[in-house]
Amino acid sequence: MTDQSRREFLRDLATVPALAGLGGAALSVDSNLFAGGGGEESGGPATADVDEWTATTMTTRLAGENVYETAAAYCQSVYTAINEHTRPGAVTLVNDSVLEAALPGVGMIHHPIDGAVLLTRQDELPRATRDEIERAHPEGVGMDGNVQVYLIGGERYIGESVRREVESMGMSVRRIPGDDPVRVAANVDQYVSSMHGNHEDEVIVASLDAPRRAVPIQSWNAHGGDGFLWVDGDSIPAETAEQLEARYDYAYMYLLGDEDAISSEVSRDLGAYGHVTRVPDAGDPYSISAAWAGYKDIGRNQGWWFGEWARNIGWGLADPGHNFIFANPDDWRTAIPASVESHRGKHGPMLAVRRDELPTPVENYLRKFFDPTDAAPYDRKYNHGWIAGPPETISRDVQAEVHGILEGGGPP
Amino acid sequence: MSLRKNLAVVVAGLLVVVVAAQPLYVVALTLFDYGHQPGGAYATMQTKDTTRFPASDPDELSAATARAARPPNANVSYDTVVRVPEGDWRTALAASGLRAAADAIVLYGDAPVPGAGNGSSAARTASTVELSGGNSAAIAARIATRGNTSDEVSPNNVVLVGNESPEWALPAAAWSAYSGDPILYVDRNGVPDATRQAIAELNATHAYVLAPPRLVGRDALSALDTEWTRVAGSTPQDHAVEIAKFRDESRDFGWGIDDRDKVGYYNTMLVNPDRPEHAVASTNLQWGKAGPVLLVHDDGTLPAITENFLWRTQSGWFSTPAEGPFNHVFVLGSLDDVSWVSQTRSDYAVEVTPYRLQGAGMSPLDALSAVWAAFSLLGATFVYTHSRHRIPEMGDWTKLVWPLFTLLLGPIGLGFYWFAYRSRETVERDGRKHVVRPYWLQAASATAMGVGFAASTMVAVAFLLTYFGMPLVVFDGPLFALGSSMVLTMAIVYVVALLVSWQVFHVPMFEESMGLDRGAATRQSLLAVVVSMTSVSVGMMTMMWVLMMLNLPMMPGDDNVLWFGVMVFSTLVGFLIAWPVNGLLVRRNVKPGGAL
Repeated sequence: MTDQSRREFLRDLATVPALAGLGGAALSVDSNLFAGGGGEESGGPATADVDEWTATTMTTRLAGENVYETAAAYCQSVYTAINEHTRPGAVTLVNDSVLEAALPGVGMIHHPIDGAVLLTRQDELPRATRDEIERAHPEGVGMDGNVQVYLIGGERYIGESVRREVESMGMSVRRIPGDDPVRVAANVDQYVSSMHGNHEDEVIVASLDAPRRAVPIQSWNAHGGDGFLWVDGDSIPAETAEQLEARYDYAYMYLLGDEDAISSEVSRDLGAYGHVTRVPDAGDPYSISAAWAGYKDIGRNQGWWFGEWARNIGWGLADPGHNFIFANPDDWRTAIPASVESHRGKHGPMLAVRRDELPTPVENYLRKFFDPTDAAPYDRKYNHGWIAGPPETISRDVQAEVHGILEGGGPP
Repeated sequence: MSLRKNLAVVVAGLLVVVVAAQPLYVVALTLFDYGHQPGGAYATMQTKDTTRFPASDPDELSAATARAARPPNANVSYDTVVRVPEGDWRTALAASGLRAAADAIVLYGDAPVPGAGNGSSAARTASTVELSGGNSAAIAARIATRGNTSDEVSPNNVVLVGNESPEWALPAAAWSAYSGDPILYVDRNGVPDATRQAIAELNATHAYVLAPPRLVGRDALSALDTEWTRVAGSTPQDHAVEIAKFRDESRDFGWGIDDRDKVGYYNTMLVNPDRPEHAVASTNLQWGKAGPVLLVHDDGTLPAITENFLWRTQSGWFSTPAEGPFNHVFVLGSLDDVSWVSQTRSDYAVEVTPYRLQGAGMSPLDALSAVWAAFSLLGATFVYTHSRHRIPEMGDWTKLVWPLFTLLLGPIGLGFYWFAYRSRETVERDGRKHVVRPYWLQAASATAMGVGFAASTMVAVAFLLTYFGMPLVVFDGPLFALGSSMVLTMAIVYVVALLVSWQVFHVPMFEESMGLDRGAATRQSLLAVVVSMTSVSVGMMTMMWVLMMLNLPMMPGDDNVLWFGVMVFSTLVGFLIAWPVNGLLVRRNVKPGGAL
């Protein structure tokens, strides 16, 4: 080999790796991978308050000084944001005063968005929410132009000033519009369906006459990503009907209310769009939350000769080794952002509790099925519980009781 | 070279840059995106799969763990309060066994018992044992034989540790506290009399030596009157992992937590090896959520051996992530003892993940994708260099095709390159050289031409859209799916790849290699490109949709090497479908099958 041909050979040998390396390096620089940690940042986890009820072996209490911080605490527990893999895809902002307009936003938690719900005032972005968006630094939703922050509802719920402030933080924003709760839910449904190119056939149907019963159930959608729509107690709004109609073939509808909350006429009329099921024990948030945690509906959704999909909705938990979010529906602003715990980590249902009482249906459900048993030598099916909010929302006595039940009396 | 050929070379180079960028970006993420602690205000330092007890002081930490296991009013009680001295790690460590043997909580100094303030019944009825320092072997022996209830039925095991270097001894705390097997001390040079007497009194038939040979030598152990088994690692961190893995079924000893078992619920205690008191404080957690002690480095960072163990024991779900099992990590001490990044990387490692080979870390599917990507890069490098130096008579266009083809199809691309040229005759026809190939190989070579140019453009465009964010338009009505990101992405990918493949590559190639004028080349290549690329796309895009939207539980993004795996697998399916179609094009002389 002459010197020149050796040079040519080496040059050719290096060409493809050099081009490839160029691409990899460009992306790494674009993603700030070589910037390092940027030195010590101020603040950090040491700023968190800890008290003797923050953590027991069986429970973790997540709470801040106010509802905005509490929502941020859930986000911090799930998205530690130490690197690309631990950041949320996006953060979803919901209005802090109208439950019916905020609740549909919980459906945005699931993949492919993969993010937390935080609270905002209509006209002002609370400090804690702003700090948390900065800390979590969402990486952007690849399936929609790398959107980093969603606003749920029209300007009536989240004003333009909030949008401008979020944008001034360098975040890419998308608003899911809607000037009433029915429209907001329908628009969230249409948006999520557009991402998938398909409407989920299973739809949770909640009543505007009994919205608190939907609070614990909607955390299912953070986990399962099914539909969520509103009806009035005695009529089906046009926007809801339109979304049900858009389902391919049948819709499978799960009603969150007894006849008082969703009339039998509405139930019958919904039958025009597919199959209707009333979720059992739907008389109040406590009993329905326990029923839904144990509920599971499987069976045909769609099937052709080359494939089949089951409905597969509901947690269906009836053995130890599971996790629960204990939330107070009276304080829905601490409850609904906690749904993110259904989505990542320990994936459990939300159970509704009162401030000073573990309601009987919830207690019965836990005591009946979740006494931990030994699975093998030195292995038990351990439970865990999230206590959503400060002691003013769920008392320490309730936490202690929950701990005792989930612990099951301990090993002999 | 003509202007158009120069353009084609530049575009081919860009395609290599973009297609190869994704796997290399993942390598860069792995190397340089270890993690750093974000600043700002925090409302909690608890995470989805970890619980931290952030006290560094042994009094406070032991009070916190005792309370966490037996909170007041939770209807959980304990029989004994054991108070251990702060300055004597040997005595404190030896007390671990009382956690189980005497149903005790273990507290340092004056730490308050759970519910002390509100007079809980457990606090009132429990008896208290105060331990003070002294001869460690004698104290350990006394604790071990306290209320000895040797029943001749259950195996009587003892745990032996060295009385130097607490970082090697402290993993024993977890097992002793869980099982009640007592901890006894051994010198470097021999077994103290107190230890020997305790073994005799306990009627212990087996000793587990949790210490490396340089702390407790073989000679020292020869003085034991009982059988023994050594469990030890090469560093304190590795030692802790070895103890967590060890299991002796015949004698019911050891956690036996290893990757073989995907259905267990595993808890671990993350402790700084410089803080043996923290390991002792963690013994309170063994009542409730039991598990072995794992160690970080002295500076609080997470050793690879520890993190690797957490990954190995990660659980996987089958039909829904709600089914579990769920692993949990308890973090002992302040952020200086165990860093935030150590805690959060552990949190990431133990999260339940889809059994079907996805999720955090490198799954088998990821590994397959990574191996394929390595093959692709090295193969393309080989083909590019080999073709230019060993087959110099090859046409300029085919010299571009084969490296691009191999870049996507890795080993399969390399195989076809080999078949297409190895031991093939060339003939001259119409003043041009052709390679004599069997018909199936002519079809494959023609397909490679389409795949090399079109599929690499498709993958490159798809990657850029994924990285910079795909478009999404929300429509109402029955055609809403047209606005979905995958449909729009596929449409953009198809159109861009068609135009690039046609105008940049095929028109000048047909002009040159088939001696056509611009107009004829444009027309004939359009037919070839549309038919070939459409058939590739049918396979590719169907597979992309099936894998990304239906088959994989989570859609892989630009930060996951599985994205590359999905793309090359889709390309492979596209190739297989386009192969017979290209056979037709070759037969009808639309595309050359013997291009040199």
